[in-house]
Amino acid sequence: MTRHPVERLVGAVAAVTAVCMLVLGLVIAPVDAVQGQAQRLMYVHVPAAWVAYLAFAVVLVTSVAYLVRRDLKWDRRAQAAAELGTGLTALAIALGMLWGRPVWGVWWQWDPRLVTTLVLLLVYSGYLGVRGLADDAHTNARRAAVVGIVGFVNVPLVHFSVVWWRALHQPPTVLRPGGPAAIEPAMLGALLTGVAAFTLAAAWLYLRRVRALALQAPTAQPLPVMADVPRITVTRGGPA
Amino acid sequence: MTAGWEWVWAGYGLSAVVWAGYAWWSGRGLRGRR
Repeated sequence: MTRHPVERLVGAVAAVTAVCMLVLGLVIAPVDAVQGQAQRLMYVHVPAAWVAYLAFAVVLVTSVAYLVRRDLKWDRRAQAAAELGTGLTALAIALGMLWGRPVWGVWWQWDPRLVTTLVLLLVYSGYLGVRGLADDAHTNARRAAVVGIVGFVNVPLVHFSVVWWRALHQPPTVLRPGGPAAIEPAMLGALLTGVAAFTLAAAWLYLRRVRALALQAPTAQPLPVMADVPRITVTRGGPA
Repeated sequence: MTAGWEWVWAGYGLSAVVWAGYAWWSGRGLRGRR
């Protein structure tokens, strides 16, 4: 019997959900009337971005927990979430470029959503860079926690950028202000299954990564308290 | 505008490579341990 049954279970459910996402997204969901087959990239592009937001929210919470508790286990949890969030932000940008080329006719535009997402990627890349600057683990953890907390300000900026500054990128489809989701039910099913698959896969890898980081961390030996130190008796004049 | 499947395969393929790569990279410290 495995020692990590929860991890195994989350991984197995993630794999099944990913297969459902592929069937729904590539077979069941209808072809978009305007964008054609390329619209199917939405079922991976949007989940990558959403799970990146979620990962950065975990960075925020665990960074605050580190600053309050000063326990490196919270720092390891923040690090694992930041790695996932940074990777998924890069993936979301790359998938957006692959979607933009056939639909917009360009790989990249200096659109508010694209620019704020790029800034998000740079901020959390900086977060990962800051972690290696000092020799002391607590110094690195403290600096990273500050970047992790301040950097989260950019997440709502990215999400609402398409509402505040209407430009090339389309506005929110599901979580849009002032109305229900504007999407065909089969497309919505594929999208939500994609979000579930990406969330479960991220949760599985997050648990694994936190465990790996804990194994790599130097064993923190607590300082002995005076009661544990053997008492030494010194007698004047040496042994009799 | 009707775009072909090649963009879809590229995107889904890239996603698979990124997830598999992260799974491999993140599990390095766990080899030999259960």
